Amino acid sequence: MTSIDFEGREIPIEPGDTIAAAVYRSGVRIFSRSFKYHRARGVYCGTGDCPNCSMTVDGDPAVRTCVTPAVAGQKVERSTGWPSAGFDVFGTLWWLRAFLPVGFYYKSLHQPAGLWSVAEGYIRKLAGLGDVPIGHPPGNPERRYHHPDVCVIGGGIAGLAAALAAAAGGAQVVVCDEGGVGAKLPPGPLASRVAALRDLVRVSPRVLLIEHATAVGIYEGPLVPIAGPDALHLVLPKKVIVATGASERHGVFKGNDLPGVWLARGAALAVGRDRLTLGRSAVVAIDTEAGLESLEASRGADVPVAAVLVPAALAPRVPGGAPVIVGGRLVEALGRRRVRGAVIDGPAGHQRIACDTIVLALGFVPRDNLVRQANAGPVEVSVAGDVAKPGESFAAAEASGRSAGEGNPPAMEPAPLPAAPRNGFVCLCEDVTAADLDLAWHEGYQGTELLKRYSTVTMGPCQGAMCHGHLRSFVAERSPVPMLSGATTSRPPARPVRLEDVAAGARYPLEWHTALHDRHLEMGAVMEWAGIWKRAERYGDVLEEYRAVRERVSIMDVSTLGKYQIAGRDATAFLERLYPCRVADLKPWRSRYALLLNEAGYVFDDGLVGSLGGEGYYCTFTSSGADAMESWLRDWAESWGHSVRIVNQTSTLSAINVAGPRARDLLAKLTRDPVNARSIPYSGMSRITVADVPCLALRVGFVGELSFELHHPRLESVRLWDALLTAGAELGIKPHGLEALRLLRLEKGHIIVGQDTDFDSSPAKLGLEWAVKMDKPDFVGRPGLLRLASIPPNRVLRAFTFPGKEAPLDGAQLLAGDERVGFLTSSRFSPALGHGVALGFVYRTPNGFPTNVLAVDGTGRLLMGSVAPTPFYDREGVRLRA
Amino acid sequence: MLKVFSTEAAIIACHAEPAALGRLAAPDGGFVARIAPDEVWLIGRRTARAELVRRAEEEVGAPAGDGFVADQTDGWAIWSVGGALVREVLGRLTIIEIPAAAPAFVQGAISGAPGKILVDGDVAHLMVPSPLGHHLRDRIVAVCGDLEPALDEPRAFVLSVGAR
Repeated sequence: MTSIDFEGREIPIEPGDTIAAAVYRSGVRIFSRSFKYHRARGVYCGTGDCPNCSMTVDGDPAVRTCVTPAVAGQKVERSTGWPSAGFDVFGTLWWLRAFLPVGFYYKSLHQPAGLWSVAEGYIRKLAGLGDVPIGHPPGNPERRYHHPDVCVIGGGIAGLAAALAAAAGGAQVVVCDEGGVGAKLPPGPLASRVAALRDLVRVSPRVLLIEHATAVGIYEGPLVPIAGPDALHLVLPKKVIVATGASERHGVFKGNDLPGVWLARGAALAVGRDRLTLGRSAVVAIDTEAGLESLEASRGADVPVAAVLVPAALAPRVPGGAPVIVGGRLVEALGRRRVRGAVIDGPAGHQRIACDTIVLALGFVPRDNLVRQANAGPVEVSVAGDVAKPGESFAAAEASGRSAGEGNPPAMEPAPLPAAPRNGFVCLCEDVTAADLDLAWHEGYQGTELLKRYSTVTMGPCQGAMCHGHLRSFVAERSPVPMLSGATTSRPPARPVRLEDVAAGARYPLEWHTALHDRHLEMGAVMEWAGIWKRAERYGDVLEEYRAVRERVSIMDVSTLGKYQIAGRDATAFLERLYPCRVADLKPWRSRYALLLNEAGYVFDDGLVGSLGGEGYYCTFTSSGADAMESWLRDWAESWGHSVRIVNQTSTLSAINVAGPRARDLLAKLTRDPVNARSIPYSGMSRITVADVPCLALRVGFVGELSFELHHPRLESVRLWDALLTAGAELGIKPHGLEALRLLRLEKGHIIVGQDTDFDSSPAKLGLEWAVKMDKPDFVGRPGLLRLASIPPNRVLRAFTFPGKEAPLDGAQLLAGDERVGFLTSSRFSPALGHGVALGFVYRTPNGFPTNVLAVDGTGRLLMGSVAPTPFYDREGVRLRA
Repeated sequence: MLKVFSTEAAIIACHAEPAALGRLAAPDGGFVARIAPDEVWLIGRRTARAELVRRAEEEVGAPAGDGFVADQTDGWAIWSVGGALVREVLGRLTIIEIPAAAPAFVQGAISGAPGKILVDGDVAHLMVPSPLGHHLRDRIVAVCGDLEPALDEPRAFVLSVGAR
């Protein structure tokens, strides 16, 4: 025999058992403790509609055990109660309820300041409901996308009939069911018919049946996410049919939450399907014809029926043998930890009946959350079966489903409201009683939406399945305004769903790799995120990498730069209008540093723009800006009606920067093309072949040394990299990573957009006015700059030096006297200069912008610095122009 | 059996006014893919790369005219999936609805990556920027674990069901 582990106890399970059935059979009656008062709760609905049987299963909290199959080896425990759910000392809270009225925390826990943050932790622990399973091994669900013609939500008789009818009409159909199809049905003609339809669905090539899968919501599209056991199914159908059926109406009376009170279908399932014994004596309250079947089920289990409460119309149909109280009404369930009796209000007045089971057959409520969700948006859905007309015969439900599948769905009939609640628990999830609603009403929360927000009624895990109708009837009795008693808004998730399912397929961040990624790893590089890319941060000793650039020769993978070719009739006019620098006067095969401004005149990217002669222009952008630049360029081209060809070559071309005083010597070993200063001067470009790899060489100066950026076909990148390293060995070559680059460029005072800029960094704030030609008639950002010209900048980027052998950390705060006057954006110790160098923003003070500052960086150091001109290193630019 | 293999193709991007692009014919054994009103791709055999560029430049008036042709072969990684379950595989990788008719060409996200898909009978060619080629390969293998994917040798691109 197989078993599950229930709180350390082995509990046998039988084939077809739900967890709840197995636990109940073992003698457990208290399945949970309630949210606020820690009231004892037992199995109630048996159909997954209420919260009472929620437990933690294999670490997953809030699992509805009445609809979850028992699987051998499961670890099951109740989530609430101390020392146990069976005996919970916090059950005494019920006797303190006068001090815990609805919304008590709004009234009492707001003063003194900070009280709530302390109280919240205790309240959360008291509430129970399990813990988020942090550290739980991820189930790693994937996503599946489906594009059927029809999505049917609900695999009951109506849903299956709808699916088959739609498929017969040639449609592709996805149908989902929360449990196994038919799992919520007791043995009988309906179960047999559903099984027959299920078999037809399973062999239909046009229907995909997804069982044990919960429809989370209905979104625009329409899009129906369905959390299944294996994956999150994202269904994008042309049409949605909701056939979610109906839940049984919740009964609200004093003591209505005691273990031993059952909704009739749950009782019938427990007896007929799970072969459980409910008790020794039952009171059955019947309001509808369908309730008579529940009476039969109870009788079939040999539970003596102590009384049947029934309306006069149904009285003649009550089978003989049971005492019938015509017109009788349940007033109270007696007992503390479980039902011990019932108080009936009947023709003979109040009457106490000893019993241990109360079965409620009070009618049906459509499970219409999804319909209300869809109707709140622009999605039209069809309905079928009980959700359209609760309580109809199963033949009628099948016909209704068939019609919906054929394109003639039934109209949705408004469900009648129950009698207004007088006593007892309206909302089982949130422990909201009729008295709570009454208090809230008198405090001014007069309407369903207001009561919902104030008392949290309908906001628990069952999402109003039990209490929504009672809330509406409560308001309707007190106000004649229909709007106040209207249905509340329904939002996803319609049913509980695991966070893991919501995040299905999202655990795989896109990690862009250059062609040299594997080479970097082979060389022992420490990789780091740089925007969307993974880049080499260092290969070993950063200082050694730095020295290779300053003293010998080094290479760096700069393939991540944005690389675009711009051609076409209007290419020059387009770029002239795009950039704040001049473009039209660029000589062929020369390039220029260029800022990119947004419409407000703020810097958001930078790079080079170079002329390719008759081939148009070659533009580079920062690595982090590469991805978004294409749409930005296209937007402007379209706005201006320019005929340009914008070709994104970021992925097509790789780039390696060869830098250092011996860079030319290295290239000369690998190319027959001239690379002297006259052939490729500083800021010049040329097409050369290096190690048999065709390259566009750009003379650049970011690191402040003689540098050639070799842009080349991606598939040739490894070959070129290897050739450079091999040929450079005798020159002492060493590759450098991002950290060395940050230091090298800082010594030149070059900014990194994003690090040394902010969202409102104008060229003037950055000291880059020289890169902007305001005498041009128009360019992106020019109107913004004209406006900014009349506003003195409140802060500016300045360069600082820090004497001594230390430099503050990036982000260090700057003080002048006692006043905070700015912060550093980049800061390093300069090996070449022997002191700290930095860039940072300083704010305007009454005495102007501070020139002497004290840097505080959280390490305990206080470093004096002063404003200095840039570049710090090679001020005349002799080295990079070599 | 589900075969997963990389495909070697030439991808020649042709940028021009829509009318000029309409003149472009599919290469032999290849495909013309409309990327945007002013851009089409010629997808053909890798060995025919230079010839495709030359032909395209003639057709769209590049480089002298207003059109522009760029060899983007290096910029795109192509991983292909072959077998009867190819549409099932696509349903695990992309939200894009694949037309029933073949060959079908669609654009959109493939497992989060910007991509393009060419479905040719029971073979689907999935294209993503080369820097994400490893991601696509890994995701195909991961999501198809239960379909027993077999990593096969790289193949040369050739369209089986006809042009355009």
